[in-house]
Amino acid sequence: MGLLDYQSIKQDFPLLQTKMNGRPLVFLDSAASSQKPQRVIDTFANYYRCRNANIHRGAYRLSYEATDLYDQTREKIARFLNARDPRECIFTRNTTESINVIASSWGNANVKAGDEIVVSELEHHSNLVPWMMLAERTGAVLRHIPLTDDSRYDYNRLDEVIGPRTKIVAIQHMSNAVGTIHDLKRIRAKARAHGAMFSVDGAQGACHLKVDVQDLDCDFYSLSAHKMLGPTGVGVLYGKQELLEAMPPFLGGGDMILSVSKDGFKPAGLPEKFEAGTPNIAGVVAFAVALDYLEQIGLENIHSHEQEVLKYAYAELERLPGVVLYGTREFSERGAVVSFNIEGVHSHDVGTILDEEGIAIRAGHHCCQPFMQKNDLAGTARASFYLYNGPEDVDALVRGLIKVKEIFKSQVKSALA
Amino acid sequence: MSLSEDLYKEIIIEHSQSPSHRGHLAHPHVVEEGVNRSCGDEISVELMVTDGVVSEIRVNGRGCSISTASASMMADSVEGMTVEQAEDLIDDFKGMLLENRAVAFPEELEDLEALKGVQKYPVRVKCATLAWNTLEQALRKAVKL
Repeated sequence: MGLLDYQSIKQDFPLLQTKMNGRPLVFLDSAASSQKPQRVIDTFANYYRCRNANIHRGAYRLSYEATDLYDQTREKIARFLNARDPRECIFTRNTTESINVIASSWGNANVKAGDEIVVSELEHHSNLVPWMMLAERTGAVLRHIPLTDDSRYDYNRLDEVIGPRTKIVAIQHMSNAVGTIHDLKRIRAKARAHGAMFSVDGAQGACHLKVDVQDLDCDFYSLSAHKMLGPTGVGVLYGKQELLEAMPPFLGGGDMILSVSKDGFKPAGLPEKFEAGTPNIAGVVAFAVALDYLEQIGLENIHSHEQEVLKYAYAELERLPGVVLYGTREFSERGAVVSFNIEGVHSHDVGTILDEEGIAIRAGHHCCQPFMQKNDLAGTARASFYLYNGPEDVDALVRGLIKVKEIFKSQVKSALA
Repeated sequence: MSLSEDLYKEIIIEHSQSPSHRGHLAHPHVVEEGVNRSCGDEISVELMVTDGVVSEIRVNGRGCSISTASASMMADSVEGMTVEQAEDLIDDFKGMLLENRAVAFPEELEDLEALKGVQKYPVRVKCATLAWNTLEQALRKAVKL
């Protein structure tokens, strides 16, 4: 329990040793994309230096070794998620693409006019728009799990939206906008009671929380490597084997076929059926090292660390007059994503002034416009913390926010006084 | 002067905190909406164009201090101008921010120079130009009426 040795962890991340606008970088935007440890960067570069060849091609050593490395990551992510079989883990470009595979491939084959697709009012656009497109194609109806005032799913109102017409419940593990961690099993039980599928957007989940897909008993779990210390351009779609086997291919092309004739094709088996074309091999290979790094520290330890930083951040920000915090105060139900506004100041102005202080935060709607509209917000400023952030990053943020207030001449009473 | 003090000049903060020309016209000739896709800032420009003159303008919406101040200063500037004068001013203003063009605004419009500092913040230039792009579209509609 408690804080990790984040100072030495920080040493593993070369970008965190740099400056931004002449100030030591304070990186508080890991919910958008995490930084990468040196060994992930080295693995990526070394792949191209010493290992590069296309996979599934070769009559030669470089190619079959590349294929091996690629498949080793598949085995690693399968163990990481506790999937039954590595073939249940499909490599995609990112979480967005994973969800699009489900909505297109599973959705087109299984969803009809009048069926209902259940999402929530808190979803990221990437877990909304693919379902909206499916609804448009099929005539299905989108339903939204309502939220409590503190941005948790309202579990008392699930019966209003999940029912006999529900075909799939597609929700997030953790909110990128306000940090809520959802009770997945409770939602899954309700979905199952009506024979519906259960899909989890794990973009903010797998990077911070131990995920066991068998224990969760989800049908699909989608994630992005770049939010979990890995490279950009690599995502994973976990799906139950029998579901993936029954689903038609997503993209057509090389690698996803068993055979092609003038008249048609036979798709390959799992996982190749869903991996058309040359994938991001170097990225997949480097992702394995990111997974090793996370496992070496331990997701539980990372979560405890983030809880400490989160509580400190809340305590410090609450002392600042004019700061409005969003999201639940039940820390057991949230992660270290802190969304806030300074009264009378737009979040982009907060972002610009912090930028000049070397502090990187996200500002705006965080790809959650329906949530912002519901709360009548133009946007929020968002500081998100990861295993390499410590209390002094919170202190830097607070100093930056005092500067914001000075520039905008809000009622400033120095919280550091 | 630090960069952000150069950006957030007194006049900009004032306009952003009490923008002018808000509210709605009873029967606008043209209503044009503008959105910054990347940040979600929204604006709507309402115009009365009488005998080739922008006789009344209202600007509503929400956005950051830069986009709000820019919209407010724009509305102050163009009300009463002919459509051609307004178009020239739009061209000058965008030239100042997008092409680093040296622009000499007339004395009554020199407040607009306060927005020149935005140039140093490439990601914020679109905030300052949103209202002007929207007005440009609105004027195009107006001359077709």
